[in-house]
Amino acid sequence: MKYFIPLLIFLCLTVFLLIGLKLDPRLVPSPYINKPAPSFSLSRLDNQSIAVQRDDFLGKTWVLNVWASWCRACLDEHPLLLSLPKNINLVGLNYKDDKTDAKNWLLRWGNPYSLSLSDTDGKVGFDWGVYGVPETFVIDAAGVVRYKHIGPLQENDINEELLPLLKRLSTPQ
Amino acid sequence: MIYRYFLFVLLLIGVAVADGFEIIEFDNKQLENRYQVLLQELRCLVCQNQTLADSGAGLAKDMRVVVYDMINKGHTNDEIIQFMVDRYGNFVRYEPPFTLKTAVLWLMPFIVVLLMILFIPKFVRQQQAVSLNDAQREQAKKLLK
Amino acid sequence: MLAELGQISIIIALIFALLQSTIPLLGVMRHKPIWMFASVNFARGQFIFLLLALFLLGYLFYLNDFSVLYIAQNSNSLLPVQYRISAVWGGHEGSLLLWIFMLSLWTVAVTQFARHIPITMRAQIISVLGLVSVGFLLFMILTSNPFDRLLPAAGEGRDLNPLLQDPGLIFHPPMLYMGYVGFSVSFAFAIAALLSGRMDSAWTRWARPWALLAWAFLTVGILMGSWWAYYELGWGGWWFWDPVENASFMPWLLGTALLHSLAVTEARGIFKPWTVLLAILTFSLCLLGAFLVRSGVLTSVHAFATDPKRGLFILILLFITVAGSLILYAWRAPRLVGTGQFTLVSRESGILLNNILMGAAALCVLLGTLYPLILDGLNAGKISVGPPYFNKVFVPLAGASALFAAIGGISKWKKDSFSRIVSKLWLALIAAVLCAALLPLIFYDSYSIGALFGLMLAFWVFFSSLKAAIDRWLSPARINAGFFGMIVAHIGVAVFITGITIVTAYGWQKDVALIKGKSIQYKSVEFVLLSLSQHQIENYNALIGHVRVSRNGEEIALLKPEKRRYIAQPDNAMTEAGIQAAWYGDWYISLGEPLDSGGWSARMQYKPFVRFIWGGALLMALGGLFAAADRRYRRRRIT
Repeated sequence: MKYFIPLLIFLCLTVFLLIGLKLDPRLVPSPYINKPAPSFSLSRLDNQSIAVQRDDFLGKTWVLNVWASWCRACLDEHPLLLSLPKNINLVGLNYKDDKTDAKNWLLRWGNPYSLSLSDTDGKVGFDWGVYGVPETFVIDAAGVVRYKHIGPLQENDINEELLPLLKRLSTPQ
Repeated sequence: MIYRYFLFVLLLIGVAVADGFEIIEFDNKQLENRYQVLLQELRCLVCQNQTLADSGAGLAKDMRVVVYDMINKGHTNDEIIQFMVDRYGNFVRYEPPFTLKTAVLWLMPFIVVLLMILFIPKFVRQQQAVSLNDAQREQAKKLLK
Repeated sequence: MLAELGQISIIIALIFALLQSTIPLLGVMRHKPIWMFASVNFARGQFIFLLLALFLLGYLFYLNDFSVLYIAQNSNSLLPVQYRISAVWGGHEGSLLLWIFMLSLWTVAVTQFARHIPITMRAQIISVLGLVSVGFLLFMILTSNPFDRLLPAAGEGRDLNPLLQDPGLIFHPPMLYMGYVGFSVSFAFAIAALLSGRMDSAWTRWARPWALLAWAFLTVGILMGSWWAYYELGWGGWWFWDPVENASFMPWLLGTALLHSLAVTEARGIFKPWTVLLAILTFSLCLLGAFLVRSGVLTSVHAFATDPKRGLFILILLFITVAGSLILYAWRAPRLVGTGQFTLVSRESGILLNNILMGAAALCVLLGTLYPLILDGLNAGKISVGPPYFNKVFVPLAGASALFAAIGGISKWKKDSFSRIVSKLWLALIAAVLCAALLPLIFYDSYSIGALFGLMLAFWVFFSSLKAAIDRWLSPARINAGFFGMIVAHIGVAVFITGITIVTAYGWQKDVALIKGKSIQYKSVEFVLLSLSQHQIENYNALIGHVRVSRNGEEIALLKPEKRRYIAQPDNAMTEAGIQAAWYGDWYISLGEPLDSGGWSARMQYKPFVRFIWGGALLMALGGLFAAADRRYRRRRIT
């Protein structure tokens, strides 16, 4: 009977390898899921003199989208962001970008954001665990991070994950 | 297809400046050693097959500056690593933490060795039971003649 | 036209492989000698057409035929001719063809050099090898065909990855694959032994030289990879515990256990089920390695361009092969009863200990490689497992294994005594401690605990192997190739450990700003950038620096680090380290970035005794070759 042990171990291994084929080893999940969002204080892209803080967003669910004018993939997800329902508070984090380039980019391609924050040196992005562009976070009314998407959003990401989540978070419990 | 673009961007950040390392000056040798060692223990998130010490990615540069600052401010190695883990998770450390989830990883090989070594005397006795000892062998030889 | 010929060739090879895998087996079952002997012809047929396909692919590369997709992706008209040929195995599809070719090469070798084995067993072995061939040929033809067309043809190729444009690529993959694939032979022997239900251990005597040869090739393949990474990548490291490196190392570890286990089974007729299992597992790890490298399941700097469809195919191939063999094992292995006995202090015991430790070491590498995947699959988070883990878990296990290797050459079969071993080795122990204590004083000026332990271990293995050799020389028994091989291989282990210990404990690195003419002092040497100039060479532009290293005014090294931009891939800047090599140490410098002040940042390293690492591994491989050449394996049966 002990001679069957190698076979059993191998069968378990195969199951994991099969699962592994569906996973992406390069994805780094966020350690902030279900934890309070890191605090920050940044100036607005459109008005440098106004400072915006993390706690300004308490009370309503909001979506943070990390973007940059030099980011090719951001352009790919851009039309989808523009077509999001208007009642979603979409905030942009302009990451390691030149302010003029960023503003021109929004003018050229459209501005889906209620406002954009200037993270010129990337320090806030670093605090949020950003390692690539674009990335998207969902933060609930209590300031807790509920979701992070790495890479450009696609149709089914929005329809199957983002919108249902936002709906769940907005309905009073 | 879209994922390829995303990865392309990641690569751009990484490859645009090849093996970049900044010249870092420390006040004493011990701090510099700590810096070098720490950089080898942290993983670059963009060029995921390189340590923080070797990666030329922009994010890696930023992280190196953070490590440098924290060492000079007097933080311990553990604090610096924890700082990175808070932001990026355990993926950023090359040494997996020792928790219930990773106990198998850390202990299994040693447990296997221990179990097998304990099993050796039993195996030796098993072999002796199954095979002929010298006296029996002589007897068998005689019978087979 | 030629590409289509290539397509046809591999399809014909597949047909031969199908025949090779079925007819001989049927011949064994139905007692038809003609069908069994036909195995030779099928194997040869497969070989000829694979050789043709490989030759055609190489020739198409030479002709720069960019209407073939694989060539357009991996070559370029500016690519020097030797790299155009080696680009054949520079990518996934072509390397697969190389793998399959090697498999048929080993198969033909078995038909040629194993004629003393009874035909029934030979037929089974060749059939099993044929089955493996069928699997890989199907994989290649259906998902990874190197002869697929690109229409309309590309005007110019994408070029071979600059990192691969190096002599290392010419030799490292072929050597590695010879090793990987070579273990399919001992696997086939084990399967044949299970199928035939033979109780005796004659098959181990026949299988052993094949396992030794495969192991020797794998050793050379791995050491070449390490050496290549060292001088090519520019960071001065020689092992990174990268998943693909681990994929080759795991079969090596189990292969080492297999070699030792085969010795016991051959000499004493015991450990039979364990030896069979090792042969199956070693090859299974080779297949697992192929899966890990080509499926995209793990991130690696080595990984080929991945595709989930390919990954699934290899997984199915892996599953069928391994599950099939393990089921056969579970069913038939209980019959393989060993007939010898031994005591707690004996050579058998020592080898058993080696097997346990090597097995645990292989388990450590397997766990370390797959654990991130396992946790991710269980939705339990994402971790990284890197050098810190392996240093803490693998090194003690491997070190312990080396500790007992010393005893292996000295101890007697069946029954030995602790006092006898002590009386033989106490001198070696003292010599080891002395040398370990003195060596650092002669060459360097500091001590480290790690270095002391490492050197003690290395010298212990060295002196005890020497003692075993001297004893054997003085005794009436002859020194046969097998014994000689063991001594050489064990000395190789000592040399290997010495290299690792010294370079880790006494090597250093320093990041500096190189400005022309400005001399930098560090650790009793001065280095200065003499010149920095642009050159165009073949298919790249190089910025070459001349850096002089001197001690007390005398030049001890002139290094030429480079920064290259390949014309076909101008966005990629590649660094080529400037190295001065000597048996007692390397000077190593690599350029970083240009500085605003006009100079360049650079990393200067000193790597003492680093060549001992590859020298030691080479000795190990040599030992394996000597052992394989032992005359007792070539004795013909008189039947």
